[in-house]
Amino acid sequence: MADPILEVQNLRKEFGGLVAVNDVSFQVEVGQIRAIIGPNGAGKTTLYNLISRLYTPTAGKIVYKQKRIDRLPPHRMARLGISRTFQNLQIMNNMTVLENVMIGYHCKQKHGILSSAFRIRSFKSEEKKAVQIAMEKLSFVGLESKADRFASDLSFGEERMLEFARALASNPQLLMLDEPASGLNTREMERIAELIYKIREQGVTVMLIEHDMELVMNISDIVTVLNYGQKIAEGTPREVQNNKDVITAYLGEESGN
Amino acid sequence: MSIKNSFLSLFKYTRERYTRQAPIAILVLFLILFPLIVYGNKYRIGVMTNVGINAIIVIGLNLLMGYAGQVSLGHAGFFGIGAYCSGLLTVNLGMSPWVSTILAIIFTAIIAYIIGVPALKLKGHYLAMATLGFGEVVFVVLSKMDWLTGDTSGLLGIPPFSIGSLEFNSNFAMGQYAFVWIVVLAILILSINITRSRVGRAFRAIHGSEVAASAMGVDIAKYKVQVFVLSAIYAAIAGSLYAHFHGFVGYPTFHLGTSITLVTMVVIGGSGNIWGAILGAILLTWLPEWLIVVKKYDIVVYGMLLMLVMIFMPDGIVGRLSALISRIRFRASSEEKS
Repeated sequence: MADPILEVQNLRKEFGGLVAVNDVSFQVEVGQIRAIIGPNGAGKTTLYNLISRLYTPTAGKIVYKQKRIDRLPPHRMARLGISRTFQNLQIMNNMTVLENVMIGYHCKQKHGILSSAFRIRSFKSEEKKAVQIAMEKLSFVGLESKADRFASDLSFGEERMLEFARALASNPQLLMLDEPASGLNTREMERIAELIYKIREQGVTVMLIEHDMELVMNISDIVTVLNYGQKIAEGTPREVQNNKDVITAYLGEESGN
Repeated sequence: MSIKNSFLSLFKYTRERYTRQAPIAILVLFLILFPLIVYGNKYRIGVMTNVGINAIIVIGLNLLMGYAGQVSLGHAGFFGIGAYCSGLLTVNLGMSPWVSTILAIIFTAIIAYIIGVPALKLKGHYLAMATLGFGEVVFVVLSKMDWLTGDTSGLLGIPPFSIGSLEFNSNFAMGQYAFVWIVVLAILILSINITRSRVGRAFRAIHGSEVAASAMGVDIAKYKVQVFVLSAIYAAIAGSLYAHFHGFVGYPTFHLGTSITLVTMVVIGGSGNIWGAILGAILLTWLPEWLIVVKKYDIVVYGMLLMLVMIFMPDGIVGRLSALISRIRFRASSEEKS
């Protein structure tokens, strides 16, 4: 078996007295679609924020491709190949759709303030390449016709697609999606599932936080279940569905038991 | 189909580069015609020179506030440091104004870096308060400079810029006018280039969403400090020009009121659009001249105008105009299709 792309060891995050993530460990293999599920407040998004380094763990290790990343600054993640989307959309409304996606390509570009100010030749060709990549990603999610519109003009579903395209523009090896289907209609949801499959075909490992069980059970290889910050189960969708602890966490304890 | 579309948009993007030169051409034409419009009136040409000096600061402040979303209420401080630094180096050490200007820029940039690194960790109102505090400190220091300047009101006898025997002193209004606007145009073009680049996108991304920018690989702290130092450099350039043009600097020029006026120029013109800086500087530098007709009520009218613009054009005048233009363009293109 190949080395895992991501390994989380005894990861812990406390906010004051609250333990949001409690000694969670798991491994994600290359090319997997890994779902992270759990009731509200289970610590799923906190886990994401730890891995993408927006939060610093209280204890534990995060190892990405044999390299510890739990003390690196957040902006280094994109260049390493970790990209993500946000549950509560983080679209730059002051920019066009195309420019939003180009931000995803930021980490692949090199030119700084001086070469930009004087528009040296290599700057121009790098910019052209950035536009080209961004357009490719936009047509991948079906937003190419809106490239020049302001992001604030998009519908909710389109904004989800835009975040998707932006996350892909950095050419990630590990893509972390945070509730990509929430608030979408059935047709849009099917499209998201289709896109996730396509991305996996390109060799990208996908992590997925999702509340829609049908989507999770259909597309994931392995499901990790969190409850109150702890990992309570892990396995194939079928195994997890029949796990007693998982059923209890979702439906509550049966009275009299 | 999608490949064809990508090429179409690539073409559009490169074409945009040429359309951006049209406003510059219009500005240059206006600047050439202006002295003729005012029949070479020295006073009015002088006001337009002040517009240029203000425009330099406001372009930088617009990059900082309108693009990167970081407020500063202390830019009069950088303006003052630049002016005093340039003035003192020429008067007390006998340096050439050209050299003193460069040293003033370097000195101001260092101060801005030292202030910026800790201050830019603050957000919103807290950053505004920190920069306001900085501006006040600079003001107090400048007002107690008489031991260096030899005069309680400021620094006198600052030499003008000169090329050979040609002196850009206050009698040579046309020379100063041409000088300052050439500098403005250079700064304008460089700044527009920055806004249309990876760096400019990073600035706006920080404004749009810090977490997303950070997750996409934008080093937020680095770019915030960069744009802060850049805007301070612009203010220092303006300060040096001011000192050598007027031959005198007085500390009251660099009070909080000036910082607020500069921010107002950004907002009225249109924050997030470099052209807004030019328009804001023109309007608010001329406004007091026009308001002479209402005498002592000028500040009332001034305040009312600000309120009206903020209520009806929250994106500023240029922001409002460009929204109108894009709406007309959109309508035209959809009519074309149908």
